[in-house]
Order: sequence, then C-alpha cells, then structure tokens
Amino acid sequence: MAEYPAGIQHRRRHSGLAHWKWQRFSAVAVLGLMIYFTVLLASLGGLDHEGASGLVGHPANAAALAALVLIGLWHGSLGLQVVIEDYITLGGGRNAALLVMRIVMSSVGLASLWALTRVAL
Amino acid sequence: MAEFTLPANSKITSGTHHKAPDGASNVRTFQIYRWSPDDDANPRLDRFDVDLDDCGPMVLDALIKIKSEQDSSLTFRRSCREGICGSCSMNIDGTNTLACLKSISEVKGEVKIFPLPHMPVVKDLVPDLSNAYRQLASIEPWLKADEDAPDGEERRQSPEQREKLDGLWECVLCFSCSTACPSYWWNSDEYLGPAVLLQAYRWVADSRDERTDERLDALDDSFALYRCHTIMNCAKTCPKGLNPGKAIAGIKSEIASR
Repeated sequence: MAEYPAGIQHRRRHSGLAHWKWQRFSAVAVLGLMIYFTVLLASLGGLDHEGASGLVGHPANAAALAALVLIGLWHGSLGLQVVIEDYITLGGGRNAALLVMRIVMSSVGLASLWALTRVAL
Repeated sequence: MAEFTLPANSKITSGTHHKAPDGASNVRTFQIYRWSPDDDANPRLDRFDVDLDDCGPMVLDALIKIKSEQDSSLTFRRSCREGICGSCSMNIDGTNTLACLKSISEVKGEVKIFPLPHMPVVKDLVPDLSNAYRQLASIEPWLKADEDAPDGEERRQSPEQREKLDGLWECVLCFSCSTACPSYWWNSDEYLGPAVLLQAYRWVADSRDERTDERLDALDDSFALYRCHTIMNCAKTCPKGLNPGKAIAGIKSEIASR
C-alpha cells in the first residue's frame, strides 16, 4: 500500500503487537508476584535479622523475589517507554530518553539482584 | 528547547459584543472564537446576543442567523444541517460535536463555541483537516477484491456479516473524536487517531473485502495504532453515539488473534 499509514514515513515502522501483549502478560505476572511478596513481607514481622535473612534467602523466596524485580522493572520500562514516546518527539530526544530510561532500569535491576544474591548466598 | 511562553497570536482577547435587536425577549448570548489569517491580530471571543424566539432550536441555526443578520464575516463549515455530512463539527460548551445536532437548550448560560481543538485554524470556526484527510486516504477506505462482482449483482452478505458493520458505517467523518483524543493531540503526525482507525476497522470487518491481512499488516505499527490508551474521549464526544475505542480494540484483537 502506498504511503501507508500516512505520517510515519520519517521513521522505521515496527510492530506494536509484542509490546502490547507483553505489557499485559507482565502485568498479570507482577500482580501474582506482588501478592506473594505481600504475604512474605507480612511473615517477616516477628523475625529477627537472622531469621528474616534466612526466609528471604530461601531459594524459592529468592527466586520469586528475583522474578518480581525483573518482571516488575520490565513492566515499568514498557510503561515508561509509552510515556516517553507519547511526550517526547523523535526530534526532541525520544531515542536518547529511551536509552537513559533503559540504562537506569537495568541498573536498578542489577543492584536488586546483587542484593538478593548476597542475602541468599 | 522547552517553550515557556505561548506562541505569537495564541492568547485569546475579548472582542465585540453584538447586542440583540430592540424588543427581543428571549435572548441568549453566544461567545464565538474569531481569528482571521488576513491580519496580525490575536484571536478574540466575540459575543452575539440572539433572540431565540426568532431562531431555530439548534446551535447551527443560531450561527446561520448570526452570519445572516449580525456579522457576515463569521466563518464556519455547514451543509446538510441534519447530522449526515459531518461539516459543522466544532467545540460547543466544552465538547466536540456537530452544531446541527446540538440543541441550544442543552447548554446552560452563554453558549461558548470554538473550533475543533488542537488543529490549525483556517479562519474562525474552520479547522485545517488536511492531515486527518491524508491519514484517511492512507488506509485506502474502499472495498478491495480480486474478482469483480457477478454481472448485475451486488456482493452478498449474510445478516450476521452485515451486522458487524453496524456502529461503523454511521461515521460521518466529522473528526470530533480525533480532535478530542489527547493521544492524537500529542502524536497526530504518527497516530492515525480514532476517526481514521474506526474507518480502517470498517473495512477489516467487512466480509466482502479480501485484503484483511494486508490492512492489518499496515495497521500493526507501534504509533499508527497502539497510541490508543483507551482514554475513551472519542466515544464520549461522538455526536453519532459511536464507539471508536471499541473499533480500535477490534483491530488490536484481529492482529493478536492472527
């Protein structure tokens, strides 16, 4: 189709389906993991530091927390991507803002995983 | 760079007050946005007192009366005066609608009339819809089939197939929805907007069209389609009671289920 759809000739086309699907899948996953996280948090109440570290460091809990951090940050970065794309034009630094956002989110993810690993090992 | 001041000529000033004729008993005031490209003046809000006892019931009736009797330079689009042509779309009392379908009695107080929001203004209440029309042309809104219809016959549809077009064919392309959509305000250069996407779905949903996949391929773009964030101003403002948001969801669903 010629010049279809109008208005996007100045950039490379890319499908929006994957983003749209993963936004929903990750939302459902985060919802489930947040319930797990809330229960875990509540069960930490009566424990001392050693007991709490042991509970968080248990392989099953640590794996679930790692999944929450990774999927949560991924979901967050998908959402922030939409906000940036909505409000920042291509000529106004959209791609640079996306890069900075992804670096920040990745850094937060790495720091969280490092902290979890230290508690677990 | 960020802009901290409004561009030149964007501050609206108060304009002329055109009083009602002597003896008028049922007077309503219409505040109307005025701007002309022929001078460097800022836009202004003119006020026109209209005797409703000598005027039709719709906002368009009042606009025509004002143009005929008070200020012939007032510029607006109109044609059918019965909600079919989509010409007289404008922002009345804070909502995009068709002036011919908006009853004056629905509006409390002074009737405020502006052009469709966030579009360049040609003059007064006439917006420049060139971009929207270009986007409409880009979705190729006509039936595409490899074979001609049988001689002397129409292309047949079952009642169920025809029913899928209800809520879509009624669109009169007034662009009230697109110009009410914040996502379209932000990205109208890349996002097709609710009006054009509803038209696109009208052909995707048509059982007689044989290029559905090609149409969906073209629509599957992160900006052209997926800028819809289901804000739903489109459905709220549509003067024909249609739901472009549902049509956009239909396109997304068709793409996802391929």
